[in-house]
Amino acid sequence: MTGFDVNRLDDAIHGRLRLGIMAYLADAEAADFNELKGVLEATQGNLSVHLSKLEDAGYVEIVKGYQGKKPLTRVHITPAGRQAFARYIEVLSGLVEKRS
Amino acid sequence: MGRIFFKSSIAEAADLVFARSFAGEGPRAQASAGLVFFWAGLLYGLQTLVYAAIEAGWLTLTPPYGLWLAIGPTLPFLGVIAYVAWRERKGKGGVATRALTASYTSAGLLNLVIAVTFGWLAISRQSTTIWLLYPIVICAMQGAVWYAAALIRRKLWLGLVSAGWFVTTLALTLLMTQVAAYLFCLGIALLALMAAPGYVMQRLAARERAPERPTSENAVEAHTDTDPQAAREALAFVKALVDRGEQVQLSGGLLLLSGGLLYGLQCLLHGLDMSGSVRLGALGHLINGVLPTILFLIILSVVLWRDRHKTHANAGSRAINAAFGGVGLANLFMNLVFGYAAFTQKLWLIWMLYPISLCALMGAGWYVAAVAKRRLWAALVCAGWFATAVLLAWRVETPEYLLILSGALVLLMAVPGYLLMRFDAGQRA
Repeated sequence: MTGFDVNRLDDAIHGRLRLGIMAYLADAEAADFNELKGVLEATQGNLSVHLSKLEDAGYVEIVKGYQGKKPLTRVHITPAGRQAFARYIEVLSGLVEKRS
Repeated sequence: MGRIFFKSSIAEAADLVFARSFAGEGPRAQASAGLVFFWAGLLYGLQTLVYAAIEAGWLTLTPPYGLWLAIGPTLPFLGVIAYVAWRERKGKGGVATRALTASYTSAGLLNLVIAVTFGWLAISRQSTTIWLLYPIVICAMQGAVWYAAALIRRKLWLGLVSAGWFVTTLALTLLMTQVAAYLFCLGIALLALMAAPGYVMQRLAARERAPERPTSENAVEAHTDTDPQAAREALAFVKALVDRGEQVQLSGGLLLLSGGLLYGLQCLLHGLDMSGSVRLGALGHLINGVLPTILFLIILSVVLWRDRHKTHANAGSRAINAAFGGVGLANLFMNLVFGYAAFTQKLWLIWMLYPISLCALMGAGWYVAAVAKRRLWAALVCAGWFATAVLLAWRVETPEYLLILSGALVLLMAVPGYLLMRFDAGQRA
């Protein structure tokens, strides 16, 4: 991929919390809801909203289950999410390179 | 982007390089590990099956072909290793990906240390049994590696591969007296549990890689709020989020401290008794043999109960604790393997190989910690354990053996355990 085209910036990822979620999952592949809440210093409601947006875009998969008797929400990055994140970073890098 | 980052142009360039590499590092690292596992499993699996056929009398090899069979798989495999190392030379992963890659690499390091120590002992003692124990240790380590991978990536199939390796470990131990069956089992395991998963990893990585010319349904017309400064901050934010080695925490400091002190003291007393400096007597031997394990099991139970609801704060911590969990599991299997082999073969030397394997396993665990945390002291502990494994093999069946082991347990287990406890207490405060 060469050059920079601001039109390619992915709106589903664009935003600090959503970018944080995608970056963290690109490394960890899967994370529990509370883990994400802790590392991103987000509130429960805010994180839920942004996770839903990423889920709607097909970038993450949210699996609800139980650990013992406690409910457990686990978030996985999807192949489409990985590709979208890589493209997003590429576009951002292009922006920095072109204008610096 | 909320937080403002003030950075030099060098740091900005570093963020840029990191972010570009990081975005595709997960699948790339998986593809590389898959490539290595595929070729290692295929080449050495086929080699082992040929040896099994020779041992069973189905095949005969004349001298030049025997040499080719011995070194044949290693030559192309070294080529694969060199290619992967070259391809990955600039790869920059987040802390979890780094820990997972280090976990795979640690299996190779352990293989090298065990091959050197067991190979030397097998040749110097003219013992086929010692040589047959070498693949068993490697199988247990493979079980540990895939166990760590399963916990890091949270994939069931990786856990099944791990279980397969541990079953193979036990099967090979039981088949040690039937060499053809032993080799056949090992060959099948290499193909089914190394080559096949390696192929799957490559396929999965290919599916996750970004296409050359992407299109996105979520692309928007324009982002008026995306100026170069905001983009710089976003890249710095990504790096800060996933590259935090200093926030990676290894739990179990108390277990390392108590285990190191208890077993270090036990080995010291045994060593002094063997050298004639002290006389323990029958009762003293019994107490020294049993008491440290009883005390350690009590501490272990208390810690497990205390931490039963504890979850790791981040993926990096989960990764290195998974690696050490794998080491602990492999240690349990090693205990069974060497205990059974020493008992059935009536050979004390075999039991002396267990601490050598344990030291190499600990070295592998600390290698993962050193790579994830990027701390020199963790790298020194790793090097210390591998050096101890070699030293122990050199001084096996001498009183120094136990004194070396005692020193290693205190310096490389108890002291790091204490440091981890201090670090943990500092973080809480």
